[in-house]
Amino acid sequence: MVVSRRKALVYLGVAGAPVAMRKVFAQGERVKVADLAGLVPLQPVSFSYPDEGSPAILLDMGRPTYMGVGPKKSIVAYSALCQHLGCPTAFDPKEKLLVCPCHISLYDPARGGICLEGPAISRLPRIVLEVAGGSVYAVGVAYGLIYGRASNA
Amino acid sequence: MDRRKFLKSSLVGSGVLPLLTWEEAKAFSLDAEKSLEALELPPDDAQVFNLTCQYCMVQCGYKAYVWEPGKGKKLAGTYTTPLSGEWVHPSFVNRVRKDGREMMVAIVPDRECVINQGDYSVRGGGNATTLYTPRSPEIAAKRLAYPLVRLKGKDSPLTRVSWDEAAAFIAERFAKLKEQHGPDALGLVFGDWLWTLPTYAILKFWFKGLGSSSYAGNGWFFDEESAGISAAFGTGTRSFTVEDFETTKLLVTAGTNLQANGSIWWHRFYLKNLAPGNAKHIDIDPRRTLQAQMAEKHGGLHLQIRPGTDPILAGALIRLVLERDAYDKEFVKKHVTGFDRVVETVRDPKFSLESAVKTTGIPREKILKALELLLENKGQTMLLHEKGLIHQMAAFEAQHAYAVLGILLGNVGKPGACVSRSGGHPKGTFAWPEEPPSRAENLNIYEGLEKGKVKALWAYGSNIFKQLPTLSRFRPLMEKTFLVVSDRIHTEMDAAADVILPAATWGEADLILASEDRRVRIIQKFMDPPGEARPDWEHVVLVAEKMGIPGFSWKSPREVWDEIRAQNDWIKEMDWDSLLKAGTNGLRYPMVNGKSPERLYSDEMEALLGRRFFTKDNKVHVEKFAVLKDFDPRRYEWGEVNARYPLMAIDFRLNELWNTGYTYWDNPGAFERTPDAYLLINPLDARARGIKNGQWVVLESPYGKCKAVARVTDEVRPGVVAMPALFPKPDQEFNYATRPTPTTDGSVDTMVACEVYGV
Repeated sequence: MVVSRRKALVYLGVAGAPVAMRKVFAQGERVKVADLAGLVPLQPVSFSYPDEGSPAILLDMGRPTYMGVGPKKSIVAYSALCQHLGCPTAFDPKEKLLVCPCHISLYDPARGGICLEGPAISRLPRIVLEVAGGSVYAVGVAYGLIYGRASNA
Repeated sequence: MDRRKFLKSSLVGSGVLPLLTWEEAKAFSLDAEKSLEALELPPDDAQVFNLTCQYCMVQCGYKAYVWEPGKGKKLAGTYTTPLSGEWVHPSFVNRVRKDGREMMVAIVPDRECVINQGDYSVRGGGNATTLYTPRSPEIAAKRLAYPLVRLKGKDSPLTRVSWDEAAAFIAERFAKLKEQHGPDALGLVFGDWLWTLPTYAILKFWFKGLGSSSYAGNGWFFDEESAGISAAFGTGTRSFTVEDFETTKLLVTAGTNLQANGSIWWHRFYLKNLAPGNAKHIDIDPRRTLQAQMAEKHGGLHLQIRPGTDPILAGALIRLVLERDAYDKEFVKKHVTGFDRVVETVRDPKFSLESAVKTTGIPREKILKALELLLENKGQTMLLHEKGLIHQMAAFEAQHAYAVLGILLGNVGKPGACVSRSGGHPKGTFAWPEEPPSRAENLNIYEGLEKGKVKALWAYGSNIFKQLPTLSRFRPLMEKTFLVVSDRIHTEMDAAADVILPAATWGEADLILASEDRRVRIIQKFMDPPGEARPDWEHVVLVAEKMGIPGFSWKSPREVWDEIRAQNDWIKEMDWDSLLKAGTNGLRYPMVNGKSPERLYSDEMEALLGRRFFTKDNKVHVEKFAVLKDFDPRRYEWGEVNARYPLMAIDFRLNELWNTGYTYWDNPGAFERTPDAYLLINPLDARARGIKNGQWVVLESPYGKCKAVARVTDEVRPGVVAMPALFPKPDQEFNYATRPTPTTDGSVDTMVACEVYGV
């Protein structure tokens, strides 16, 4: 179901929130996301990549994970916007899934961000991560297109 | 790594981590490398075509934009916001041939269509991935492009021939078999979901041209799947309108999983109605689906019913309503015939609350809570049901019982209120040519096959090696017939087909389909078909002409449509040009003087058509409820549950899988969810058999067996196992184990006693 932007923001509980698109990172730019020391398993870290209009979620799954980085290969990150109609997904620590509140698309961050159920037709774009000097950096986008864009650059 | 190896190695969705690396996985992604480049978007001067989805009964509107490669828009950064319906997902874009040239195409959910308003499901979102494209050798190879014939019998190879040769080959053999064995030796199995024009063409050819009465639909043998509804209203046609999902106060779903199989309806219900707390949902299903979980989360109910006991649940609820004297007296007095028979029937002790609790396996308090919700929302409740009822033995009983429950509560013809099927495929039949009189004694094509009476079969838009039941027994019989196949892709049927005719399909020919809320739309041709493929109705024209049978000289889809609508008052005003003009919102039937009612059985309908119902006496009939006197679940499928086959198997439809999955492997977003069929089994039943989550198991019934990956979960009740219907891998096809006996509405039966064991 498609609604006006104002209504969409009401549904999403973010009425009044500006959609900022000012700062644009260059493709492949290293953007620091978190310090390894500060990561708690299954507690998501929000950031934006590749620009401030593109929210993303970093997760330490606490165990070796498909395409994970870090000492335990347990850290992954994905675009937070649902591939269906762009609602921001949220992490459900009990189910260990990223859940879209609009039409309940369920994404599995432990399996490449594939959609297990719901209307989304593809995986969440994966944010490519690198670890250096005790910090985690976002360095690129590895899959598909981030919602709302025609190019990840 | 090829796709087969990938699918073998992956157990995604079965609770087991996939055993593939990123390098392997990305080979099957939507071209991961390319996705980092800019996606070309439709330019303002793109050619635009109106479409509806090629899949389910919801029939969402889409637009096809076609433009020259390189002339599209290139946009940087974020160009749209959540829920705008403006974003072009990479899966929407493909390259096709149009008028011989390679062109870009984008298939985009239509924001102007009142049904989906820019929304889409995982199935429809993949429409563009299924297109015949010169860019994908894999998709090109699976499509049928030229007529193929086995010139010297079953052991000879399939050879490419001209259309003329293929038609002559069929005509000669049909004529010979008809002469030797009579017209009923010629059997037809048609996909009744198939586009309206081809369905009419083949039925007319079969009944009037050949004079044969041997036929079946892809999911039924005789009668109609809506029998329990049409017994009440005089038609099984769906009565609601899509907006009702946003205004109803209570949705009751029985044997229909709208979240997965009517996604856009459920989206509208969930986002606009259920989640904001305006409505409740009662889901009646042996499986605890996502829909059931959401119903519970938002103050509703999941009634985890023992399959096959729905008539008892509905009867018990009716009895409770009557005991409380809480039925809609005005509606019953004014419109209902046969009320006394209902009152009399539910007096039977089997409909007492205690008995219903025992028979259905639903706790007492949940039945009472359901009653409370039904009474609170009298006249504002949508009761919908589908294959979960229709494909169980006592289909008529279950369907009619829920219908009567809804009727007695006045949920008929009002905004947000109905009793109806939810449906499966779009409406494909508007005119039913008169059947030969031999039909009266020739209802079941399987009997004809078994007795050797059926000598030829035309599989017309239906994969008969998947969609019919008890394949272990009947596939070998079907293989022996003179087998003609009209299809869009290569299938298992290739192995036995004598003739294969390539069909031009969605996007490749002008087509007509109707949605469940009665909107008729033209699906416009926007690209070239592969090779020499032609629309299915033309297959009929060519064979009829070769046989010298008159009445099949249509030159265009418009001519076929004109012949159809002349036979049906509901659509007679809908000429081709006005349908073209009506675009993705189409025209609604029944239409009188340019007007159509939003809902059937409403004041609006009465004013327009001069009648409220389609029964002869313009009343709602509930007297057939009396058949429930004889209803006992132990008489049906449960009668076969014993020490050797202690479990009951049911099937269900995956969200991401349409029909037989003929486009399943085109869309990675679909197949990576479920690369193999899985079998839901309760932990109690799994433990007793030493079955572990993620292991391969065999499901064996008295009629045959199939394979699946075990998913050990309490999402299914103890004693019941469930697996997807029509999974597109031959050894994972549930129909190898299903029962041959039609249900009480003449449909196929997909509930069967079984045992499950590890491989």
